[in-house]
Amino acid sequence: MRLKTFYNSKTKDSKNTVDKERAQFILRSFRPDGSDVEDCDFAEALAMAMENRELGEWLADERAFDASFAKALSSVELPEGLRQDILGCLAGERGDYPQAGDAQDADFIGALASVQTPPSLRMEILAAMERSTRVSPTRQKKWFFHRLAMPVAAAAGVAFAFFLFDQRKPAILATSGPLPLDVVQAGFLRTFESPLFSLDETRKQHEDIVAHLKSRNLPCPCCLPPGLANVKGIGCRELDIDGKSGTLICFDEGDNGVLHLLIFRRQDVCGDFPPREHPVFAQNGRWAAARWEDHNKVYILTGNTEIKKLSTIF
Amino acid sequence: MSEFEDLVDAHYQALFRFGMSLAHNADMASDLVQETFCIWAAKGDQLRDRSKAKTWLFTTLHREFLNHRRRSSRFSDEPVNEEAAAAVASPEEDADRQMDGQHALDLLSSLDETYRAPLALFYLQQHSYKEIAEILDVPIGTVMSRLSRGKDMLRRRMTDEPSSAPKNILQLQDEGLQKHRG
Repeated sequence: MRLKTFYNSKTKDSKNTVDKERAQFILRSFRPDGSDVEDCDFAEALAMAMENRELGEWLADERAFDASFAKALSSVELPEGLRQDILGCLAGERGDYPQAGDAQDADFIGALASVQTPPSLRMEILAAMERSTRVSPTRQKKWFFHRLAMPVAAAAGVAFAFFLFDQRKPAILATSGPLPLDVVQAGFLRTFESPLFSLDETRKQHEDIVAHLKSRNLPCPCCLPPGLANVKGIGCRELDIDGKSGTLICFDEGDNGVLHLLIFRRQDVCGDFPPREHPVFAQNGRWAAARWEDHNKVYILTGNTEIKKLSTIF
Repeated sequence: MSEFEDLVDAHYQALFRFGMSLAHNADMASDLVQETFCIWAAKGDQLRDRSKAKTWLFTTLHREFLNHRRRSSRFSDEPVNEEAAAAVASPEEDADRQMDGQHALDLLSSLDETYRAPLALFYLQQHSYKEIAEILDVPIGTVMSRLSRGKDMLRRRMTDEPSSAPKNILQLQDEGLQKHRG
């Protein structure tokens, strides 16, 4: 690399010419942002450029060209969502979904997995809903009930799971402070066990659901996981658990079933909730769940699916 | 923030641009970046010197690109890019054309990969020429030579030497392609 080591046998004139060409050759590997200025392999060529005006001008021009090209290359735009795709891809490949690490989560998922929906449940729910409707349903309402049958049945299945869980392990009584997660579960159960259960609003469009929740001053999803962005909503309702208002939103994933999203304000629920980018997943049997925290709200997403599929939502 | 997330944040943008420079296709570049990090997830813990992570990632992406190209005749049978060279070397436009990201990618894609990879790494300014040699698994002198010749080609592409430049460029590209096909 040292210039003098290459051309000791040259005459002075030819040596100068060759040295200059050699210096140019070396300096073409010199990064335009000056990152290599401490690299001693460039020192001699740089010193020569300082002494030789022609070489110095060439170097200035070369660096200007390089800087222009480097700037252009650095302006190449990145695909939207690439970072999240990478993180999601990695989670799938590594199989290192954050697993539910405490007994409460295990109970939660275990309860979900143990659900066996009674064959008559669907009809019972529909009948209860019909009874609870004070105004005779219009044609549209009837359609709504049928439309809701699947998610309600599924949601009721979830509730049933909580019920079984609570029989084995009664929920801790809530205080005026934040609700423990098992109290949230118990409250969730009571809501769905009630014959008065219904959704407050049936809306497909997320913005309609959000508008409704805002009008009721209920917790709104400030930022849904990317995979839910294009999933049609079914509807939403308030969850009033021991004086804490939460939200339930049901999403229709078509052939993949229904996903249930519970949202509470962060100060209303205690316990560990990781950030949205790193939700905690758990799986037991055919049920998977994820929970996370985002912008002062906590979320629990669950459905009759697998972690791998559920994780793609994030 | 996890160590992995830190690593992704530190390098995924440059890796994507390197992938774009090689593949000239955003989807493939995204795939290459994802595959690279997935391989890191599986094998990265084998890298004892964590300071080498960046070089490891670029090396892996380049290797994955070569693997993709080998699997796809679309790449290996790609002819010398005379049309692309002509397109980007339009003398009427080049004199006043502002260099932007797409233009830079177009210029790089008009070169044979022999020159494209080291030039992209050089202009991303993430690596010294010695590290580029390590990433591409070629001698340091070869990298210097490819940078020098590659820059000559870029300059010719950007100026109006439509009659004289391609002859020399095509010879070099043929040489490069022969090597790849071999």
